[in-house]
Amino acid sequence: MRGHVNQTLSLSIGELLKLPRVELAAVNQCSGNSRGFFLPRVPGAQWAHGAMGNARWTGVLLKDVLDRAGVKPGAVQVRFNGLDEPVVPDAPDFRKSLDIDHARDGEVMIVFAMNGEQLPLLNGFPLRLIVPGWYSTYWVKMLSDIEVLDRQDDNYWMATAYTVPDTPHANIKPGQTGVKMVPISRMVPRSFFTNISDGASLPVGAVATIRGIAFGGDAGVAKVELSMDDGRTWQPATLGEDHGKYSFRRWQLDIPQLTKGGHSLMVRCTNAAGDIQPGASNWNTSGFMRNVVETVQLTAI
Amino acid sequence: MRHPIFVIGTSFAALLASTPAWPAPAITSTTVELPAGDALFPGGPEADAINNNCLVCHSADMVLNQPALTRSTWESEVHKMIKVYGAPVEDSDVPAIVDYLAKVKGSGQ
Repeated sequence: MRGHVNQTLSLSIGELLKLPRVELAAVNQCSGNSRGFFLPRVPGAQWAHGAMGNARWTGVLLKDVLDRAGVKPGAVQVRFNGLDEPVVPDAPDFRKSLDIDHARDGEVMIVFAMNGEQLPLLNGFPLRLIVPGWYSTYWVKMLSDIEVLDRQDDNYWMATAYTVPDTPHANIKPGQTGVKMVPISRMVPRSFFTNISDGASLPVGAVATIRGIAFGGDAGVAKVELSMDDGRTWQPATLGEDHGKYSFRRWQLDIPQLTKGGHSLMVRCTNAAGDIQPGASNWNTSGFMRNVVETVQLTAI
Repeated sequence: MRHPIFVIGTSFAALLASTPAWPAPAITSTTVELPAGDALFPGGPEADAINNNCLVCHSADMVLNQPALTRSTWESEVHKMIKVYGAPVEDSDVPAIVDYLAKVKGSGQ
């Protein structure tokens, strides 16, 4: 730990393990999760919905670690770097920053365990930053360096990469220019079907239990609703066990007997802050922050 | 080609024993073998430029799974790799790389 602090400090993993421990279930989701569904298509990893996961994270509070070094008045941001390095020397080293108040909010964590076991290499062994409710670009792996800044971080990975249009849902029209861009930040609510997929067939007259998962982004899941009439009316699903506001939450709903033919099923989540999934897809050049209502087409035969 | 990764860590089992309220995750060194990523771009000689310049940083699959993009978008991507990410690409190889991408993953525009 260095920079705008009272004392530069080096902590071993052993010393870190002596600090008060915290545990939290939280969704880790890529900024570009579901990018492959953007239309028009955009370059980047062509994710379906799989660039996310939910785990139980164990570690210490970033706040406690910052307090050990002592943050000086006038601190603006805290920058995080990991042991990973660019493949070629001229490439920008991956570093991310949080505002000082966010870094000290008592929720941002430095973790050493995932689901009760040490972090696997690909999940950031030995230490990883966890920023609950924010996209995983901030969840710096192999965390090795914490730098308190007395200014806004203008490094490439904050100022240029991982920025989104400063518009509702980070949405712009394809080709639109002159848009103010800001660093991506908090996640938005999403919900998914898990026991049926688009194009599935069900027997006529059968009673079906539809299941899925939802998460609220940076607030808990308030409700999950399904619609079978293209979004005109919505029925609340039953929510499963609550593992905390940043976790996946299971949901299920028994739908009425299906008549022969095609049916569309939509699911949407509303979070505790009142944010609700939009009915129309957003679009931006990076393929970030997709959270449109999910729809599957079923056929009863 | 396999790259063994040696992860350095230490066992803290003794330390963790002093906090019995928490299950003790043993933090220990481990060795990881990453899967081979040695697939080439198909196409023979016309893929030489892209094979010689682009695989140092990312797989062929990463590129071949991209959507069809316009020639100018592919040109921008190649220049972004050079200017922003420091890809060591010879100027003389750029046209052949863009030609390959526009042909194999082009939108025809």
